[in-house]
Amino acid sequence: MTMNINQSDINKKQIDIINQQYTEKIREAAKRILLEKKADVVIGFKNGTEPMKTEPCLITKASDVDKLIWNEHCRLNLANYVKGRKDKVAVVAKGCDSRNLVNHIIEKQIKRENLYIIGVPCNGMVDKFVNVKESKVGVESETMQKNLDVFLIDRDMLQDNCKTCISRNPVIFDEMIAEPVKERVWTKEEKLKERFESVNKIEAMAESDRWSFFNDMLSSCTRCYACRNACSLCYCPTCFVDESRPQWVGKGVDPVDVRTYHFLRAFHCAGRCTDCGACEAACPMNIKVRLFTKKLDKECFESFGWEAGMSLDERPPLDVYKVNDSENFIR
Amino acid sequence: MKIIKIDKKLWSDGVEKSRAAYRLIGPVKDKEFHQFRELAKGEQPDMNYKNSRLSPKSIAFPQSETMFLYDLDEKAEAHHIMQDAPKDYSPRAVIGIRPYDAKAFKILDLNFNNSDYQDPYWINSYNCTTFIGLANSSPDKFDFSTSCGTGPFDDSAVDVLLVDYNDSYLAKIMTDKGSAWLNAAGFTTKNGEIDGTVKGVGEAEEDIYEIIEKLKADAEAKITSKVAFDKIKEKSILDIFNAPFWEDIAFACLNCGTCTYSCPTCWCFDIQDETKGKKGIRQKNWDSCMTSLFTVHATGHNPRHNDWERTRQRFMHKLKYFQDKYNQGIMCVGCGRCVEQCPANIDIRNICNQMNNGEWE
Repeated sequence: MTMNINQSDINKKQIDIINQQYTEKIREAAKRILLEKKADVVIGFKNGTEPMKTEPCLITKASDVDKLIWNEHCRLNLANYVKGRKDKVAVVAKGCDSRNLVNHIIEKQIKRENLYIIGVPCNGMVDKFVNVKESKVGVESETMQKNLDVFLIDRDMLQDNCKTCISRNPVIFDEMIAEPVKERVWTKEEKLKERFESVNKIEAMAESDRWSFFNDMLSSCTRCYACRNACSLCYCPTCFVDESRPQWVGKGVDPVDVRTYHFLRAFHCAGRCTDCGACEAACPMNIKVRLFTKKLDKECFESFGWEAGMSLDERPPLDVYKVNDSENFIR
Repeated sequence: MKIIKIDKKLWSDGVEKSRAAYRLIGPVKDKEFHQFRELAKGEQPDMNYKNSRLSPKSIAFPQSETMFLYDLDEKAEAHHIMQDAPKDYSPRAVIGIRPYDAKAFKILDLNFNNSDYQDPYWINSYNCTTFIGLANSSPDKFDFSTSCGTGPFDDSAVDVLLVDYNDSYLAKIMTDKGSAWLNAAGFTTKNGEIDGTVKGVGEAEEDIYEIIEKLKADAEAKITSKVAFDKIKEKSILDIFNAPFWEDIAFACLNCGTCTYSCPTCWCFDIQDETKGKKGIRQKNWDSCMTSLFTVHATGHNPRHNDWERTRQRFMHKLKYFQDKYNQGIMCVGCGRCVEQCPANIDIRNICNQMNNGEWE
C-alpha cells in the first residue's frame, strides 16, 4: 500500500515536470511557426476554467502563444478542429490526433501541405469522470496490468482507450516536442484479447442479455450528439439524423431512434475509428459509446489486420478492392 | 410564514403517507447520476444528493411529450383528426428540488404561460405540482446561483423550503400548496413547534429564523464564482451581437446539445409527427439552438449558417434578449450544469462577464 502511494507520488511529480516541459516546447514551436509563417494559425489546448478541464484554442498571433498548455486533460481530438479549414494550420497532435489527421488526408478533408503537425508523445489522458466514479465503469483484466510500466499515470485514472493505446507517439509530424514515449509491443493475440476485451465480453453474452445491456446502456442518452460532434470522423455536411427531407430517424428519445443513431454512427466509422476516445470524453452522461465503434474496429482488425490512421500509404479496407480478399463473393 | 420542525426519523414515513393524495417525484440515483423521476411505491427521494445531472425541468417539460394521437385508417372512427393524448394532471409533489431549479420553473413559466401564449401541457403540469424544495448547504464550485437572482436558500419559487438542521428538517411553509402537502404527510404542529422558536431535545430555545439565516449565510459564503450582467442591459443588442469576441469564444464549442439539454431554463422545442403504419403521434421534443437544423429554412437557407453564430445565439438569448424582453434578470439560475458538463469548457460565467465588462470598438 505504502509503495503504491509513493509510486503514484513519484509519477505525479514526473507528470508535472513533463507537462511543464511539453508546454514550454509547444509554446516555443508555436511562436516559431507563426513568426516563420510556416502556418497561419496554431490549434492547441489552453487551460480550462476549472481543474481537470482544458479548452481547444486557436492562436493567430505569436504574442498569444503563452495561452497554450499541455497536460493529461487534453482529451479532445484536435483533428476535429482542423477539418474544413482553408488556411495553413499548425496543430498540436498526440498519437491518436495524428492518426485522425492521417484519416483526414486520406479522405481528402485537408491537404498534407496545409498542415504543420506539432507532435506530442502522449502519456495518456485522465478519465474526466475519475473523481466522481464510485466504481470503475470500464472493463479491466489482469493481463492488461502488464503494460503498467508504460504509463506514468495511475491505470485506474486513465481513459479506457488510453489503457490499450497502440500509438502514443504521433504517426506523422513535422516536428516532435519531445523524445518519443515507450510504446507497448503487442502480439496479434494480445490485441484481440485485450484491446477488444469489452467487445469480447458482449459477444459472449446471450442475445437477450446483449439486447438488455444495450438498452440499459443507452437509456440515459439525450441525443445531445456530443459524441458525434467531438468525433473527427463526423464531417458529413448533413448527418443522417439531421436530414429532414426525407427524415430517416425520429427526433425524440424513443429507444428505437436512439439505438438507430448510435448503431449507424458506429457503422459509419467502421475502418476509420482510431479509438481516440473523444466521443466518451465528450459524453455528459458517461455512456460507453466506444463499445460500438470498437466492435467494428475488431471486425476490421480480424478480417483485414487493419488499424485506422497508421499510414498515409494505405486506404481503409471499406474503401479498396483487393484481389486477394478472403471473401469469395467479391473476387 | 410558518416554520415547522420535522424529525428526520419521521421523514420517510411522512413521504410515503403523502402518496395517498400525491404522485411523488424526487432525485434518485440511477446508474451513476441523480435524476428526477416519479418515485415507485416505497421509493424515497435521495435527500443527500448534490445535484441532478439533468435539470428537473423535464417534470413539466419532458424531452419528448406526446400531445396528440391520430389514426390514418379511413375505416377508423375520427380518422385524420387529432385526439388529445391521455394525461395525468392529478396532484403531485416534487421533493428535494434545489431552490435554483425551482426558480428556473418561474423563468420557464414566462415563456410557456404569458398573455400571448399559453402552453396547456406546461401549465397543467406546473399547476398540479407542489414544490418541496431542499436548501443547498454545500454548493459546489460550479454554482453561481447567488449572482443570478436566486441562491442555495432561495424560497421564492418553492411551496416549502426544507433546511437540513442536524436531526431535523426545518420546513418553511411558503404557500397553501406547501401546507397541504405537509398536512398530507402528517408533518403538522404535532411534530414540531410553529412559528418563531424551535426547541429540540436537550436544546435551549433558539430563534429559528436566526438559525436559518446563519445556515443561509454559511451556504452562500461557499459560492465563490460570480457573474455580473448589469452593463449588458445598457449596451445595445447590435453592439454585443457584433462584438469581436464571438468567434474566439465559440472556437472550442462542439455545438452539441449538452448545455441546452442539461439547462433548467432552456425552453426551445420542436414539434414532430411520428407515424407508424396508420397510427401516429404529434410530439413536442426539446430542441437546441446549437444545431443547424434549429434555424434552417424550408428553402435550405440557414440564417445561422456558422457554428459560432449558434453559440452566440445561446448567450445572447440568455443574457441579453431575455433581460431586454422581461426585465427580470438573466435566463440563467447559475446551477453550473453547463459549465461542469461542457466537453469543450465553454463557460457561461466567463462569457457573461466578457459581455458585461468587455470594451470594444
